[in-house]
Amino acid sequence: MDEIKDATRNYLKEHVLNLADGGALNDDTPLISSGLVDSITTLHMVEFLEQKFKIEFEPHEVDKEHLDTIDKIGSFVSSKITG
Amino acid sequence: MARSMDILYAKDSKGRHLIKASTDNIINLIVIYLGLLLCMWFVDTYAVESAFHLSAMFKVAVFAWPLYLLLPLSFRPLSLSVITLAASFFLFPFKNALIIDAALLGFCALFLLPVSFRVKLALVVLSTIGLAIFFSLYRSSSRLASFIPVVTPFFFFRGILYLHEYRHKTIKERWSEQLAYFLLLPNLSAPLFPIIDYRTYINSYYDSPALSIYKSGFQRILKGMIQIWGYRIFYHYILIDFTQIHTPANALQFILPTFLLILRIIGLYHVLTGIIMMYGYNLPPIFNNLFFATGFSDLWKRINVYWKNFIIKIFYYPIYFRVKRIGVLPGMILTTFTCFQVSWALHQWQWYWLKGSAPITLVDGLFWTAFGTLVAYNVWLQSRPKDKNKVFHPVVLRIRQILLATGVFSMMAFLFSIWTSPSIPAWIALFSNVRVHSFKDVLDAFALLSIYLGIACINFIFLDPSTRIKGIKSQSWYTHSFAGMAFLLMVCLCVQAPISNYLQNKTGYDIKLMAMNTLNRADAEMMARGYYDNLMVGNNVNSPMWDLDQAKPVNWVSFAESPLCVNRNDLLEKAMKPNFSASFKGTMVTTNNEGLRDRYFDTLKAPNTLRFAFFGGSYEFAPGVDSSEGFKYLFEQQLHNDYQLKKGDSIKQTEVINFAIPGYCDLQYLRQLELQGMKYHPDYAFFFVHSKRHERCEQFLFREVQLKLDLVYDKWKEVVKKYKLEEFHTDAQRSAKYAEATDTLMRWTDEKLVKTCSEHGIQAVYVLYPATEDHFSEAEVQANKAYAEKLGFVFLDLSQVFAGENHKDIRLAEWDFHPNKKGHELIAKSLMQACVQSQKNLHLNINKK
Repeated sequence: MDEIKDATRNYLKEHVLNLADGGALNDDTPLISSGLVDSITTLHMVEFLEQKFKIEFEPHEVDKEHLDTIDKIGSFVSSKITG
Repeated sequence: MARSMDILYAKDSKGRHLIKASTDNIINLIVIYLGLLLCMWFVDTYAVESAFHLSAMFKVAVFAWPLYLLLPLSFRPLSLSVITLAASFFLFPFKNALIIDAALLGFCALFLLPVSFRVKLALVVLSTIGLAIFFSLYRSSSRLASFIPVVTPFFFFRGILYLHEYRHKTIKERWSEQLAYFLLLPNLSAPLFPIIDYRTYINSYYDSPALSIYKSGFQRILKGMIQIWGYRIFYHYILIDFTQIHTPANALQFILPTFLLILRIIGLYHVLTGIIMMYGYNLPPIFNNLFFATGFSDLWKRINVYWKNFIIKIFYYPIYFRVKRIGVLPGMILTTFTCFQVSWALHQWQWYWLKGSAPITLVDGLFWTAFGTLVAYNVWLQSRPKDKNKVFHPVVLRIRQILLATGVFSMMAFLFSIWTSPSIPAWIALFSNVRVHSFKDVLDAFALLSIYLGIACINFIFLDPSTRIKGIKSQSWYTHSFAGMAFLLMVCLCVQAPISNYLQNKTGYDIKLMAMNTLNRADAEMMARGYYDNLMVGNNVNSPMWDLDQAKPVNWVSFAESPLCVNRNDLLEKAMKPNFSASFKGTMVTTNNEGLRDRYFDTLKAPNTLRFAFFGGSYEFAPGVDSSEGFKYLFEQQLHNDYQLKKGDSIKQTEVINFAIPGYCDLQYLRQLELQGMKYHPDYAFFFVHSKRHERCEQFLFREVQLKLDLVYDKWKEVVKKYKLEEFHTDAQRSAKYAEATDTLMRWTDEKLVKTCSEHGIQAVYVLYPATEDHFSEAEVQANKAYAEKLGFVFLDLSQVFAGENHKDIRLAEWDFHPNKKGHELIAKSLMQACVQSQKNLHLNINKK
C-alpha cells in the first residue's frame, strides 16, 4: 500500500499540484473535498492509477469516498489489486 | 429539564458534536436567533419570493428551530419531515395542503420501498410516465394537476441521486433519515431548489460542532438576504430600459447587469441551504465567488457547485468511461461538451414539470452550446503540459487574474443577455440603434468596464484568500454577523414610509420600489411592448416575471388561450363567442348574443331609459371575479338602488352595457363603437383610459402593420405611409417613429370618437384611472383632462381610486394584477362619485334616493 501512496503522492506533486509555495501534501490532506483536485485532474489521476497498477475503475468509484486523501486512494487501489 | 439539557449539550454515541453548555454558546445562540428574526422581517418587508410563500416557510423554520434543538438527536431527522408536512398547512389552504402532503408521502413511499433496484427503477419510471401523461392532458382542467409543480420539485433531481446510491447499495440509513432527504422544508417555497447530493446530505449531519454549523448556516442566510437586496438594486436602478440603448456605454449598461441578476438565485439558494444548515446538516458551499472566475471551467466549478457535482456524478464519469478509448483528452472534451447538452435537456425536463411544456428554442441551444464549447476549450488548455519554469511575479499574476476575470464576466454577461432574449433577431434588434456619436461614448463604455475592474482588483488583492496580500485576515464571525445584521436593519428601515418618503424627496428615487417583488420599468415596458410574448419565461429566472409566471396556476391562461376567444381578421383582432359559457381565471364567464360579458339587451332602447355603454379592455371585462362583482354591475346597481337620474325634467331608468373585451386598447374603441356600440343607441359612451395607454396603442399599431391588416380609415393608412411604418420589423427600430405615429393616430381617433358620438347624440366620456400597480401624477391627470376636454369629452377623474390601498389587497393574485372584488368595489364607488361631481357636464341631475 505504501507503494501506491508514494506513487500517488509523486504523481500529484509532479503533474498536478503547485506546491512551490510550501503547501504540504500529507496522507490525510483532503484532495477533492477541499477543491485541491478538480474533476478533470481526478480523471487524469485515475488514468494514471489504472495504468500504473493495471486496475479498472467503475464510474461510481470516482468520488471522494474513495479518492479524497492519499490514505483513501492507497486503501482503495490496494483493495482493487487484491480483488 | 436536566435530561433535555444533557441531550442538548452532550456528544452523541456516534461522536457527533452537539453544543456544550457555556455562557458563550448561549450568547451565540441568542445572537443567531435575533439575527434570524431580523432576516424574517427582511423577507416580509421586501416580499422576498412572495409568490412562493417564502415568508410563511421562513417563519415556520425560525419558530420550529428552538424546539428542534431540544429534541434527541435520533428524533431530529423524522421531526424535520414532520415540520415540512405541517408547514404546508401554513403555506397552502387546508385542502390543498392535505393533497400536497398525501402526494409527497406517496412519492416518498415509492422511493423508499424495500425492493430491488430494477423493480424500484421500473416503478419510478412508470409513475413518471403516467404522471407526465396526466399532466399533459389535464394541466389546464384538473385541480389535481395543479399540484404537480409543487410536489415534483421534491423528487426530480434528488430522486435521481437517491436511485444512484440505491443502485450501488450504499444506502444504509434508517428510513426516517432517508425521508428527511426528500422532505426538505425550504423546498415547499422553492420550485427551483439546489440539487443536494444524498451522500453529502447524510454525511454532513452534525459532522462538525453543532454551534459552528448553526453559525455558518446563519451567516449563509444573512449573505443570501444581502445578495437578494443587491439584486433588487441592480434590477430596479441599474439595468436600463432597452429603448435607452443608443451608445456603447448604454449597451454595456444593459448587458453587464444581466449576468449580475443571477444574484437573485444565488441569494435564494444561500437562504434555502442556510435554513437546512440550521437543522444540523453542514452543507458545503454552493457558490464560490463566481463573478471572479478566471476561466470558463473555473466558472463552471464556481457557478453552482451542487449542479456541477450532480452532472459529474450522474453523467460526466459514466459518459467519460464509455468514450475514453478515443483518448483521455479527446474523451474529456467530448464528455464536457455532451454534459452541457445534458444540462440543457435537464433544464427542459425541469421546466416541463413546472410549466407543463418545454419548447426548444434557439437561444437555449446557443447558450448551452457556447458555454459547453468554452468550458471544453478550457479543459483542453488545462490538460496541456505546463511549463514548470514559468513563474509569474505576484503583481503580474494578479493583473493577469483581474484581466481574465473581466473577460469571463463580460463573456457571460453577453451570453446571458442572449439567453434571456426571446430570439436572436430580437436580441440583435436591441442594439440596432447603437452609434458612436463621439469619443466620449467610447470613454463612457470603458468607464463602466473599469467599475468591474476596480471591484475585481479589490477582490483579488484584499478578499480572495488565495490571492490577497499576505497579512490581511478574514474578519471574525461576530464582525461579519453584526455588520450584516446592521445592514439588514438599515435597509429594512429605509423602506418604511417616513424614511423612504424623505429619501425620495432628497434623491428622486422611489426607494419603496425595491421592497416590492414587482417588475422594473424596463421589464414592464418590454412586457407592454410584447417583447416577452414568445419568451419561455423559465429561462428568465432572474426576473420577478419568473415568479409571477411560475406561481400562476397552470389553468390560469390568457384570454387568447381561453375557449371564450375567437380571432378576427380585422382591427378588433379578437372577440368573444356569443351565447357561450366557459371557465376563465377561476370564474365562469357567460356571454350574450352579441358576444359581450353581460345580459341580453334589445338593440331598441325602452322608452324613458338612459343607456350607458362601457368601452374598455380587461379591467372593465373584470376577469377573475364574478360578473356580479365587476364594477360595471356594481355601478349599475348603485344607479338603480341608490340614485335617481333626471335628464331634463324626466326621471330615467338606466342600463349599462359592457362592451369590454380583454386586450382591447383605445385605438380599437372607435371601430367597436361603429360595429357594435352604435346599434344599441347608447346615450353615454364611457371610454376607459389607463396607465401605459400609449404603449398599448403603439403595440397594437405595430401588430396591425406587421399583419398587413386593412386599417379601414384613410387617416390611419396615410400615417402609416407617412412614417414608413412598414419598414420597421423590430421593437427597437420602431421606438422613435412608431411613438410619433401612435400619438398622431390616437389624437385623430379620439377626435373621430367624439365626432361620431356627437353625430349620434351620444355623450363621449373619458374615464381616467390607473392600473393597480401604477399611479398618475397630478401633472399627468391635468394633461389628460386638458386633452380630453379640448377634444370634447366629459372628463371623469378616478386617478385616486386606489390611493392608500395596499397593492396586494386590490389585486386578483400575485401573478395577475387585475382588480379583485375589492378593487372593483373601489372603482364602482369612485366612478359613481365622479359622475355625481360632473353631473352638470353630463347634463344630468343625479340625486341620492
